[in-house]
Amino acid sequence: MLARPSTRRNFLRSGVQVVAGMGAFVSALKPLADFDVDTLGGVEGFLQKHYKEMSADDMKASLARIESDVKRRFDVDVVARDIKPVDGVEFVYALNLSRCVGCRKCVHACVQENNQSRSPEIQYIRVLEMPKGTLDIEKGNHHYDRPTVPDEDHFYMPIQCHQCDDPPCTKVCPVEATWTEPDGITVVDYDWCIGCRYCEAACPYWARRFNFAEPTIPKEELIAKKDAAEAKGEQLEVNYLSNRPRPVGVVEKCTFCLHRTREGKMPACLEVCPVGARKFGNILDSTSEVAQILKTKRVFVLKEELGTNPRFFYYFDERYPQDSSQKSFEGMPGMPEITRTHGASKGEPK
Amino acid sequence: MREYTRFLQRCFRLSFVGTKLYKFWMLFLSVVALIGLNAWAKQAVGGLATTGMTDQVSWGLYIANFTFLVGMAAAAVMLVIPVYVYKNKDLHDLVIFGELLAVAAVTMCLMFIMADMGRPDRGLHLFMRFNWPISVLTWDVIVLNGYLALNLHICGYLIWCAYNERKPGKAFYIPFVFLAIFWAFSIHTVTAFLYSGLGGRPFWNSAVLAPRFLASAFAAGPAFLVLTLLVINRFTKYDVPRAALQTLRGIITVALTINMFLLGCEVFTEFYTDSTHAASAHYLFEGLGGKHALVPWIWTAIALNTFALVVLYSPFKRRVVFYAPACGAMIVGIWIEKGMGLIVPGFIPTPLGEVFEYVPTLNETLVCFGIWAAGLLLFTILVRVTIPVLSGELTKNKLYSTDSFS
Amino acid sequence: MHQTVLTAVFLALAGWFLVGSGPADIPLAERNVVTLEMVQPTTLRTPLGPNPTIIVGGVKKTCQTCHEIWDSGVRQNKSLVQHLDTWLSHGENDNCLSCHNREDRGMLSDREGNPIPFGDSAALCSQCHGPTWRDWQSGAHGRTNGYWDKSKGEQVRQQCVACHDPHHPAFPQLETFPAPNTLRQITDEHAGDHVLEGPIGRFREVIRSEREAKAEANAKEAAAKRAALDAKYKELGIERGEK
Repeated sequence: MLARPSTRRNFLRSGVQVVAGMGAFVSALKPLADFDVDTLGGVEGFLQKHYKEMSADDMKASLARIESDVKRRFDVDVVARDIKPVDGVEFVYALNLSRCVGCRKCVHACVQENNQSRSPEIQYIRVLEMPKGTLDIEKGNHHYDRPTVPDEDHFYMPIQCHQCDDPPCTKVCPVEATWTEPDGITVVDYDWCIGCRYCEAACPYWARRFNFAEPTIPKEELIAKKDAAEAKGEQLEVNYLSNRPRPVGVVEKCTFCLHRTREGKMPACLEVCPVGARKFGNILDSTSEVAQILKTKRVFVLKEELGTNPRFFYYFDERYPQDSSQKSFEGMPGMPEITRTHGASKGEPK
Repeated sequence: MREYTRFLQRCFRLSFVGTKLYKFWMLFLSVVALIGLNAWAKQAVGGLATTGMTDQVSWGLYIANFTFLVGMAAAAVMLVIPVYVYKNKDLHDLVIFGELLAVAAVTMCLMFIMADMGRPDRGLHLFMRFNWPISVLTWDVIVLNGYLALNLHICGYLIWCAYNERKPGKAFYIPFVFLAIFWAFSIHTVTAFLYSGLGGRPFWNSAVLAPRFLASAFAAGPAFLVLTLLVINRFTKYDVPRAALQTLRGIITVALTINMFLLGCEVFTEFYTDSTHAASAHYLFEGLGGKHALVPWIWTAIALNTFALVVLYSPFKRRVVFYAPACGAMIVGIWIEKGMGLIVPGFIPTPLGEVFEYVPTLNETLVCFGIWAAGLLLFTILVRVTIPVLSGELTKNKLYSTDSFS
Repeated sequence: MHQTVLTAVFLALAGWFLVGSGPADIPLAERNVVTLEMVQPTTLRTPLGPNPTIIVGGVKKTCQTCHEIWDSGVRQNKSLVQHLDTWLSHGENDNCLSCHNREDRGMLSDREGNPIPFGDSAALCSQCHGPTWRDWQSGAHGRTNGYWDKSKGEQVRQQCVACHDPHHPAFPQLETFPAPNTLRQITDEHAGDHVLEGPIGRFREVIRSEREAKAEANAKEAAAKRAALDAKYKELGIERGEK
């Protein structure tokens, strides 16, 4: 119809054009040859149901997939579990701003515990160095790099997920990939998240992180962890909703170490806090440490005006500043000398 | 049905037919689109780390373009309302171009969303656990796809009727036209609500955001149509009535004025109050903490929009040499103001006060150009096919014969 | 003619895709290496248990071994031969025997002179530090390790001396762990310190200058003290600085 007679040559030429165009189209997709199909999780992974819809058998199969996925990616044997919330427990965190010295040990203990990507670096806790005299976090410094802390003119304010009772992040999720569990912990189903990052935009505490690239954890670090666990007669465990290694392209966040805390342990950030500024427990138990703190201390929550009702409280206590006269003891016998052993040390980017 | 496939086939073939200029334009768009596709393939392999986005600025060029294009799509109603509500005759035949623009723009929006998703392979999850009505994003999914369907139906039906040399049955499209009017407002309002509903982002958390979105959309969208119509007028036999261009000019002038006024309202509220919530505005207009990547952009946008406004209120507006550049300036100005000037500063500083800048990467920019090229390719083809059909040159029984398939 | 151009352009493009264009750049910030050993939940100090011992010349001795022979005075009167690593900076409490039992050096002492075993020092500290003791009892002060749910495992309430050295109880400066270095962050692009405005800013200026003056005086004092000590050490022929 449209091809006119006597245009056979034209037609052939058009054909060549079309073939060239198709060729260009196909070769434009050439980078996809390097695509790691395993990140898609296979057919079973693709068909896996939402966390809340999985039967016990579905979960078993899913955990087995996690174990083989970790084996494939990191060549380490782990045991995957799905630890459920405990009835009558609602977790609350309290942080003593008078005591925190800003050493950032919690930040890195968290990374170890929860198997975050080391490169690109993902951390759940940010510690702000705040000038004394203000509580406006915009005046805080995230990147202070003093050899030692604390600095006399500053106090320190660690911020992580506040596990809100009325979380802005879960309500914006278009696919219900994130929700709040009965024990108050907001979790993400890493196998359900579509990576739109709307929750990241919605969180007023900047508590969510996105896996912009395939997360990397050096194998040696996982093996060191496994050895440490085995030395205690345990296996290296990972948990579905918390510290299993994440896939690329999904959001993750602090879960109050639910794999530890649901079994009665303290979160990793609290365990390592050298000054005891971090307090954790069950708010429904009036004898718990956090209940005592809420009873006796003056507490406040960050950005209370947003109505998010966090499960994370800051508190202060009576405190005299360090007596400056002790400075004259510097260099005296027995005065601990502080040399920096880490922080300055940087490995090769992976 | 056979007739319909034949119709599509003819349209497809027709899209390859045209003048040398047309072909080079199409070649240019195809090349850019393919480069974009290539860049997207690289992104699919490397992850979104290939973009300039970070946890600090977690949305960038993709969502900026998405926001702007939702506005372009919504602007189709600015042609529909005068025709169907106020019975404006000049614009009657041009409505379809607005709707074709809407189709192309929504398609681009969807492509930008796909490019922005960390796991596009999990798109099906939307159908399995759709968090409606709680998540505003689900509303956006509904209104955008609904709007695409509505416009496809209206244009498709009108073109199909013209092709079959038949008068369109009013019942088959008039109700949809009125639904589309309502719907167009909804797509941009819902898109504004995506941002303005977030209490943790004071820069967006403003009731004036939705009106601003609508005003800027109703300026930039018709401005784009004016440019399209000028091109159609110049390069095809289709005669665009001058009165139509004048009507559009009126619409653009009012919309741009309102947009500038609302921007002024925002600026006043932020800077006169000067609370800590004005940090993003400070970053945008004058820089914050020694960082000021966006400052030249927003002032360029304001200069372009002011230039357009001055032209539109001056006697020069009647001359195409001024009118067309004013339209172009306004499109670019609003693109900056609504994209880079609204989405990005919403993230700076972060909710924890960190001033962290966003700089798009080359790969990400190429993806954006690719999507724009693909969208313009689609729009060009749609316009290319529609003109001969509407003018009766290509119908069921008549072969469009001004050119051959070569 | 233009068909050829079209074909050529497409083929050139295809060629570039296949050969010329490499993978997209992913700029990653340098990694700060922090290993598992660096983040162990150890306490700052290891407090002494009951009946502390000391190795002298390869032989294990108790405190009393020496102190039965040498009794020290009531005021702070540190020997220059023993306890070189002990220096006292405990506010007004500058008396060894405020806390150490005079009769049995293997014990601590409350203010009436009654013995308190090492390992139970909280009972001693609480005599002066009432509010802190109260907070420690309720859990608001001090470290709690192990299990929050005591029915599932052991909960360890760390003693005062697990963190505070009773001789100079102020918490020491700690080493800072690496600052965040997230995607695309370049370490030298640090956000600077904010200068506070308004009254608090002016107040900070006042205390800053006061502190500078004090630091200068302190430095002078410390230098003088050290010089005096050095002279004394030299006189006695003792190498200093050993623990």
